[in-house]
Amino acid sequence: MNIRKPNLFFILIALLLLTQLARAQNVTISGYVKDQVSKEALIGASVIFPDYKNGISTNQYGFFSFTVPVRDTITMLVSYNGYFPALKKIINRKSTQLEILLNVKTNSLNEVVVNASRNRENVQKAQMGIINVPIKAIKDLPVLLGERDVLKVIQLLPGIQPGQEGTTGFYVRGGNLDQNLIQLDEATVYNPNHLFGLFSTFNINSVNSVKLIKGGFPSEYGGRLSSILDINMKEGNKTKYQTEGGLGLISGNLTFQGPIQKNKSSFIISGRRSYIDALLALSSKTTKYRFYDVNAKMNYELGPKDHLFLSGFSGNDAAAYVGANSLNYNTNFGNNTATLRWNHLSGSKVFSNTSLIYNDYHLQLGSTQNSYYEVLYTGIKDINLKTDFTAILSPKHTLKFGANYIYHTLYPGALSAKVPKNGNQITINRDSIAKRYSNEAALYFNDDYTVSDKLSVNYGIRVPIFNASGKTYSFLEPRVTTKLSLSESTSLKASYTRMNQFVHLVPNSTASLPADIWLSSSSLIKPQNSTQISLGLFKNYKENLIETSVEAYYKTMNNQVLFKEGTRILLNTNLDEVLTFGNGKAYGIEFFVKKNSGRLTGWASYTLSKATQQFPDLNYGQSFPSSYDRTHSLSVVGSYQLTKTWSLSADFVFYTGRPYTLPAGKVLVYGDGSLYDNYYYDYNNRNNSRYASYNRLDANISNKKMVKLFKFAYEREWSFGFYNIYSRANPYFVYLTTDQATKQPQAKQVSLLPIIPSVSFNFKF
Amino acid sequence: MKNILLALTVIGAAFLAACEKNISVKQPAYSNRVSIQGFIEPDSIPILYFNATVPYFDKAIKKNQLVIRNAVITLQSNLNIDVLSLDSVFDKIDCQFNYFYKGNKKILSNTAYTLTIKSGNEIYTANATTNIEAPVIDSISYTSKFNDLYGEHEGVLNYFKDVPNQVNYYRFEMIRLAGNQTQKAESPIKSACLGTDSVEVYEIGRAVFNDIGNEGKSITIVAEPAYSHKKGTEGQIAIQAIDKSAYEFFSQLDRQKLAQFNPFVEPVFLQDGQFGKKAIGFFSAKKNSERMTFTYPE
Repeated sequence: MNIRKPNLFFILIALLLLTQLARAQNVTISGYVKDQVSKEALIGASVIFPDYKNGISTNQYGFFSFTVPVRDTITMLVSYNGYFPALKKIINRKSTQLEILLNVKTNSLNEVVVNASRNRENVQKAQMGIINVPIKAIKDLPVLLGERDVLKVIQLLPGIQPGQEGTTGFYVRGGNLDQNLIQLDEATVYNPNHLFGLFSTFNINSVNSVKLIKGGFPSEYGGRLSSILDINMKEGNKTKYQTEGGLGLISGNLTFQGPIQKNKSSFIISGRRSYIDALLALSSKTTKYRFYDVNAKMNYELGPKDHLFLSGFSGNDAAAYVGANSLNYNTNFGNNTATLRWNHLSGSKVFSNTSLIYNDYHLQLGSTQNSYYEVLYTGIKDINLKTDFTAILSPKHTLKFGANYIYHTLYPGALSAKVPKNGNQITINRDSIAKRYSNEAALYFNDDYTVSDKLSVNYGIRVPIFNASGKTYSFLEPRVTTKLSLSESTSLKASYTRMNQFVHLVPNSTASLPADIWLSSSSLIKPQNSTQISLGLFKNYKENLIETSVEAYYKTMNNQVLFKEGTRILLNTNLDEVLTFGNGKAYGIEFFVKKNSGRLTGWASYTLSKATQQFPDLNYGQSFPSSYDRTHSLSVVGSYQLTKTWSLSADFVFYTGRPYTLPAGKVLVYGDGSLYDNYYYDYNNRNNSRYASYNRLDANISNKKMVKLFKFAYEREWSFGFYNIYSRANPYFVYLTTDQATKQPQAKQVSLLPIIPSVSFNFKF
Repeated sequence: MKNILLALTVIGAAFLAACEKNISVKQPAYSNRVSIQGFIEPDSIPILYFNATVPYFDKAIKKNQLVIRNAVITLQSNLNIDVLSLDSVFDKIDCQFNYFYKGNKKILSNTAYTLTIKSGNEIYTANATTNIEAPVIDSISYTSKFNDLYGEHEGVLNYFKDVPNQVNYYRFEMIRLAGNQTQKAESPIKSACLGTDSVEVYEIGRAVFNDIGNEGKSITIVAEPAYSHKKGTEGQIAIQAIDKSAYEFFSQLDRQKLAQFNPFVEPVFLQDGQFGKKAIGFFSAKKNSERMTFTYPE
């Protein structure tokens, strides 16, 4: 049989025709979803195409793009939590770019809920371990000393363990504090705390969105092992000027926003300042304390395809104590960040963002005593250039790829000397410190691939490269998350991720020194890395009114950093000599139930977990529970709209007590043990005991309404709350002493925060 | 550091009300070990303490409950063998007997000794060599304010020269008289067995020092007195030169005690020493300097 080989020319023509045919059969619907009044981008809004049983979410700039087979009428349903949904019909059979404006819901007890509009992204998307925290929840929840706080809400999510009582530190799936990358408009915030950790630096009035990723990391994220907390600032109202503010027990805040050029450009500036320094000045001449933070952002639409953003943040804390005799102590720490971003739309399918980011963290700690002073200075400054592309090539593929480069400058320094005759000013000139430079770069590629109606997979790879002092590390980080739909409202997901981390926080989880000292990897300090696998079942009920999930995870972590036993960080401690390295392991199962809308909203989460570490130099080389291992962790969070103006919210938390080390045996000291209390201790296992369990109930009631003052209408809110309403004496730490009468050892528990009432007043006009 | 902690506490207390209470905690599982503590010093009769350790919250704290009797303890050199036997002296301050095993033959200089303890089915052995030279104290002075890792305290300053050409480890020792009116740390001694008597007490420095970086140079050791004193109170001071085993043991104890001051600092685990995992303690040689009389100026 004579078979003719196909002509290459015909094949090419056929492929071209097919491509053209395919193009002719598809249209791309793209655009931005914004607030009707302020024209603020709505991040994570749901854009659903019911006819195709498919949909997408807006990105962090409110942009979406979706390619679908052409129809005479294409119906879109756009929704966002707290807004009325919008129904759009596109009838021109062409690719279209839209600006979709949503109207915010007012407090209505007879709220109409369009069930279909409720987001079922949690079930549909091939992503897991990602939680978008509603800003409303942050604003509604009970507060400490009248300060609403993003990080306090993060602590209530599944898989998240809080740090010390009252502080904003959080530990994700067995990882240490430094394994959380906290970003504000893409800029790293190395120390997100005010007031020794009681509040975070994020002013909720200037925050647009909060997203926490704790597993199943997409490839665009890297640099930390355990979580990414991605916080985006508001852009500013593009149509009218708006002012809002509030007064709490220890600080006040004010936010001003408005158009620079109506509908095209806007700004927002938000500031918060403590006034406890004024109160302290009245009551104490020895103690001084103040903090402030300022957020500012402006944006400019260059055209339908280009958008510029410039944002900045500055936060600072200063505290001082002047002792009656000769002690002088002061600390000053803060972060400054700046981000310049350029969004560009190439056609309707490729969205790009290029950012130039600067961040600068510093901490200075000094003490003066008997004519001698000691100063510790630590700082880290980054310059980060990154570019990210999102290409929505077809309904089945959303590609993301990009690169970033960070130039780290670390300033570790300390000095000790006699106070000069001209005074006791304790400062270090940062330029005089021997700096440590390092370079961190990464390339990534990610594809969100819808294989079929039931199966989708989000896969990618990230390639980080790090160089410091002539030592270079490079790795491959494969990431994959798959989703198998079991029904419209149920899916099964699994993920695998590898992560590397090149900057490390000296594990100062203690109150010994309020110092966050960062070190970069070197030939001595190897990069931390982790491998995490997770499996989850996601199911929504009552047409997405109630979201539920069960996620199990297993994570291994290498090159973890801890202090050697007995290490007390002093100002002149050589850190290279006191650190020790080992591995960690964490696994657990997380249950989550969330009600998204209605008069009662909120969530409940329960985590059963175990986190252990193993270091050759600690605990005789044996594995031990990590310091923030909590077997049980339960949070219940609720907000109830009592009337149109009154709302009630509460949260309850319960955690297994954190582990600590108790001596197992005691040994008599002979030959006079005058300074040993006659005994010394025999320890056999690190973290062999646990504090009493931690539990607390907080409640808040607030009244919000429009009022008039001399014909001037404004919205005001009074908020009254109680932290730790039943005043449980939760353990802050336990120490051991000897009863002088019986000579028996005695354990004493110190508790920090009893019931604390708060009141705050907020206004908006 | 202590002052920074104090400052933080003061700042914290300005905002927050902390509270403290006694709690009962579950005794961690503990496999009792034995404790062996013994120095040998040339021209002295050897004394060795051999006791049981107990779970941390155990109420058995009397020395007669802890001493291990019926042990067979020998000290052997290439010249002789000495069998130690159980003995005791009454401690009027502690109001109880001190139990120890005591030898019969004086320790020789520049001699290697092997300690062997047979108790039940266990045998414990360790070695020490009495080849340590003691330093000579140059002078002693006193300061009412001294700042170091332990914070601000009074101090007895001991000036001496490092013994050259050997690795040296030192600690402070003072013998003085104390009675019921004397305070130990913050509390009076108040011993029912003491009456109006004054008895000799040993103050041993908790901190141990090495001569790294000070080979053959002048060294100053500052000791914080454990007992209260008045102007004119006298003490006999010596500097102990100890061997490496004792230094490592007491250095661990010192770091362990320091860590206890801060509940956020991870405690120091005692690493296996001369007796491995079976026993805690040391068997070491030491040599005291000539004693110098010191009189408190205030």
